[in-house]
Amino acid sequence: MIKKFNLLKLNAYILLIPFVILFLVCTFLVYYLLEDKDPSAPPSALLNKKIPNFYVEDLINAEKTINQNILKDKKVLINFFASWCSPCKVEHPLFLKIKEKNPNLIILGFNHKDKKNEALLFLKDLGNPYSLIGIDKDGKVAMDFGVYGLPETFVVNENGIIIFKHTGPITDKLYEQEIKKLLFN
Amino acid sequence: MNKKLKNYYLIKKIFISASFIILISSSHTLENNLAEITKELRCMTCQNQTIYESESDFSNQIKNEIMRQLKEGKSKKQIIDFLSYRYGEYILFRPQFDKKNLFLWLFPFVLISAAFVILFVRITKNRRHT
Repeated sequence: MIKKFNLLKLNAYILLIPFVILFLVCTFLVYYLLEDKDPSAPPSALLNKKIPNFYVEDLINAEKTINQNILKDKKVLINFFASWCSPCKVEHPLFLKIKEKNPNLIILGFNHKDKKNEALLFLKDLGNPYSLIGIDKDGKVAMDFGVYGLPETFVVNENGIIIFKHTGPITDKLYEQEIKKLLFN
Repeated sequence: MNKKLKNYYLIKKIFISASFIILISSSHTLENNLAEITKELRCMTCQNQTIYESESDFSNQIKNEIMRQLKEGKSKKQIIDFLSYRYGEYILFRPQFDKKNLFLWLFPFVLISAAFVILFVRITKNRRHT
């Protein structure tokens, strides 16, 4: 009689297993759904990876070229921009402010799929916060950096590893809370 | 026109036609491969559209890059790896079968198998009792 009772109890536990599994799956899904995720800003694939190689013409001095070796042993802020990109104009004053406060910081700009004269006019009108500007005429460099929407900003550490990426204009809050720490700590 | 010259022209015509057919068929194959790959890729600047369907600047650039790599003789896997290295798995509509996604791929099968095992155990037990 006791044996039969134990068997029934065991059967009841076995029946509970699917419900437990279902509960776990639902918890897992709800956790991921409620997590603070922006579908328009997927995580960067290149985060914590080595900076891609590039070899581009300098926008200011056509006789000069720029490649990844100039970033060696330095923390660098990289920004993809274009004169036709409205959000780039929004974040531009912040880059000027960063450069003004930190004159030794290297800010590398990549002028993306732009006309040279329009890019130069953009910088003349709004100011030039960049230490160097490479021309990414055909978007090849942007593709290697996994850029899909302008503006995009990266922080690269002394070992040439990408430690931060942001799609869209950077804000004061973002700079103060995240970028500054990565650049100067 | 002597027979030799006639043969020469005939061979020339055949050669030109064959080259033309090969050229058309190879470009068709490239187009087909491009369509096959781009149908599996997400346009990252669009609302839930494939790169195949989209005409955005981003999608057109990816299409051009894929075509360039196809012409270089790169395989579908090499091209997909090239893109997912840069843009992450987000660019793929179908998650890749790797260690990271093992749970995602295998869990439904594990769940179904577990259900069958439970069902089997219960049926055999019921039979024994009756």
